[in-house]
Amino acid sequence: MKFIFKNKFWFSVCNLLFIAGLFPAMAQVNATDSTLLFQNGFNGNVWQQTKNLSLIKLDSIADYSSASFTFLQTQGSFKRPQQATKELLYGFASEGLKKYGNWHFYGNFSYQKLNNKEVAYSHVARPYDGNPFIWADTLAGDWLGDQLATSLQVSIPLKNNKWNTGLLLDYLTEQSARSADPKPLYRYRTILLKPFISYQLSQKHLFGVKFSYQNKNEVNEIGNFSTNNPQLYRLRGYGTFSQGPIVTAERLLKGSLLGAGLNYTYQASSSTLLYVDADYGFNTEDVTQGVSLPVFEGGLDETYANLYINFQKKLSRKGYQISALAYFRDGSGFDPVFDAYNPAFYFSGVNTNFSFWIKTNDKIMFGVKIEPQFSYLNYFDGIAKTDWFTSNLFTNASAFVNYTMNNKFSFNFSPNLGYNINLRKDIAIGRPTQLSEILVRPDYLFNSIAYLNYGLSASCLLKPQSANVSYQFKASIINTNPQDLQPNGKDFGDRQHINTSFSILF
Amino acid sequence: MKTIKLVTIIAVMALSSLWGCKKRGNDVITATAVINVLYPVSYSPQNAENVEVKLVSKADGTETKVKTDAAGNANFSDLIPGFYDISVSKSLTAPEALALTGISSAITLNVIKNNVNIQPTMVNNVSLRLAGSAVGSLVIKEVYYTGSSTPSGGTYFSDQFVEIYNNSTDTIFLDNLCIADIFGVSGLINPSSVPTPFKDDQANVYANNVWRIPGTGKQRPLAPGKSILIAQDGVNHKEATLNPNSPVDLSAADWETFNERPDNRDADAPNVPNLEKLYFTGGFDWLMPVFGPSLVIFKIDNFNTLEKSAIPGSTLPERIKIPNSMIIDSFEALRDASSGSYKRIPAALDAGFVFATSTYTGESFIRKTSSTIGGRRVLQDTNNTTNDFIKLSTPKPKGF
Repeated sequence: MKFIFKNKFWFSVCNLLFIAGLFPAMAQVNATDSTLLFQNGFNGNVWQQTKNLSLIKLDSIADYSSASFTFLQTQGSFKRPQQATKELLYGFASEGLKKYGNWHFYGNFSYQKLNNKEVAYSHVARPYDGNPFIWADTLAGDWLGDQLATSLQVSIPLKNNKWNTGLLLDYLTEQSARSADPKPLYRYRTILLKPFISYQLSQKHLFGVKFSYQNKNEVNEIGNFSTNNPQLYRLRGYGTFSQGPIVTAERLLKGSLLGAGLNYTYQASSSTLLYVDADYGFNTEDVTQGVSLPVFEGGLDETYANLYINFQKKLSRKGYQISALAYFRDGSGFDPVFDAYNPAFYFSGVNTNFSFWIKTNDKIMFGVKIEPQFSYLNYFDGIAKTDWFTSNLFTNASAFVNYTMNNKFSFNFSPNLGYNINLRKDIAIGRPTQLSEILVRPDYLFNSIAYLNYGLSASCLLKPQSANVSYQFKASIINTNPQDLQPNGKDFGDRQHINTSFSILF
Repeated sequence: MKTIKLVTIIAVMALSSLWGCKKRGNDVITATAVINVLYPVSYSPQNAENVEVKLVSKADGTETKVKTDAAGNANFSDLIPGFYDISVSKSLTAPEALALTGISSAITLNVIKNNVNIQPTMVNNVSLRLAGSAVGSLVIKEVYYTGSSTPSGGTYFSDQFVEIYNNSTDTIFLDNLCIADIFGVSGLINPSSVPTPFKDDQANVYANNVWRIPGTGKQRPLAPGKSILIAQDGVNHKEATLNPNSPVDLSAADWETFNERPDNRDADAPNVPNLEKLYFTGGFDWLMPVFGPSLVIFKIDNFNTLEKSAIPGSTLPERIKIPNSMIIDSFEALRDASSGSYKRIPAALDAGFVFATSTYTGESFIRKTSSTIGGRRVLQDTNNTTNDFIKLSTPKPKGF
């Protein structure tokens, strides 16, 4: 495959889109427009993807601040087996980007209430993060919890402005408990540190080095009196598990991630940019059970890599962007019961993005984005002789139209349509267990189905004349609709995502 | 621009190389196990062939089933290391049980062994022996009731004995086992002899005397194929002071009946333990009719719960009424072949009878051997004394 960047190609696209007379004049992009483009993912992608704040200068994002009340609901039966049937997150958040001289600061804070309904076979915070050694029981229930997240990023220029350094600090803490006996709970916390340093070799060439360190900690407890006679399932892979009656139990997960990466920026001109970023790292997570006499339950060893390429051209009234993110995660779990590596997974994929935006006049700006994504998943379990893989191509197309009525009110409308095609899939379960048909096969079916994604988002921005603040109300709804039935003839059902927020921008 | 193109092409190639890699490899070492299944000791052959052995993983409840081969071995392979519960169950049809035990009675045999640790670094061989309820039961093996004549032509009847045999495949505890003789004459002994007045009650037997083996429940084990001898008097009857013509030496009897009397007319053999006398209507000692007794063996938790029945038309002491359902085995001997109308045991319990040549002949009746299983004699028990017993000219206590 070969990308050909020719102005003729994009000129042809513009001709298709711009029917004569529709867009007689084009206006300059202002700060609000930049924010809008940023929010819609048409601009600022380099910073968003890499969390490298030194690159903020390349994204031309204006300073902004906001405080929001958010509501996110995901509901439906088309889900992975250990996901909740209904997930509710609501709370408040704030964020801001500020430049002081050549220093850049970014911070965000959010507090959210969590309400996950009908969660089955999962007592942990992130059952699909990769670690196969998780707790579960047969009693589905509703989980209530709280989440607090904050992020601080700073970019500091050094000597002669050729050197730049910075740091990202992400902190998340979350706790949740199930209302049904025996009331399992978890307390989850991650701390991510990402220092970086970059060197401006010349006006066109910028090199950078970054490092990542993440500390993960999760505590699980169980043991409230129950008349349901529950059994605690200790999942040890994809089908492999051990079970036993619950009295009281504690589980502790400790993980650390180390990574490093390089990036290169080629700025051909003030409007043309090529960015390449690669990072590689290792993640290890150990799970132990018991407090007074900890017993090693299992460990995850994982390597990962990401390669991100972004090419963008930004003019005063229009721009386009082509980007691709390739990734893989290769993990295997060591099980002390068998003194061997048993479960393993391999995820890889490429997410691409072709986007174009234009501001036709003072009132109208619109953009189009097409995002083909290829993914490959493989799960393996030696004990249960599970081996399944699936490869999918998901393509999402979205557009946005922003209409500025006047300096007080603007409206944004964005339809979205996507479709997933399964390219290949296969599953083998040589030694099925009780959980093979409850968790493994349904997860395989979920990840192998063709589905349609369609949705709509809209927002409006109000700016009282005398104030320096704006008020924005956003709402979006996306529906995921499988295009096939389950092997037993039953319908998968749908999955619906509703996101609303009210923000104060200042 | 060329640089951009070149970098982009290289990057895309690099991206493409990340696709389609699959994780493989299985480090887990599985284990093998051999489960050897045997039938109970008294069965023959011992190796249990074609029996399903089930292994249930303690970790996740996964079941693995294998049938035993001709050697009784169930070979398991590719087992996940861990703890297992092993269970074996075999239902034998009546013909199958007959071939194995000599007793035609369907039975289910089981064995369980829990928490067996199976690891690849160990030799996982487990031997299990099936067990089930006893097939067969106690039977009256030999009855010597005729007595013998003395060298001077007199009569001698103190050398009577009854031998009880464990005809089952398992040990039976004889604690509280009762033996009783049943009311009624053996035949037309004298002109006024009439059949038992209880003849019409075919659901019960009516005992003259009841003796019981003492014990607390597990004190008197009797192994399969073994017997006990209950003597009227546990002495060597061949002694010159007794009856040299007696065919038996009962000094090694397991039990004797001792009727303690103020005049000491019943001798108490010092080396032979005494049965408990629960009910006695006899004379000096427990004398079985020399013309032919009817005997039953039974067990009951509380003897006092048995009903006493008056003999219709008689002033003799009451008799103990014993339901048929309690009877373990019975033996019927009458005066002669034509004395069938004098049967005292209901036909449901015993459809036949035997008869001796005469009284004081020294003859006894011994139960026939049906088969021999692994050295153990299985005696015939068709609930018909006529078919099941043969006459011996000389008793063979503890013999065949």
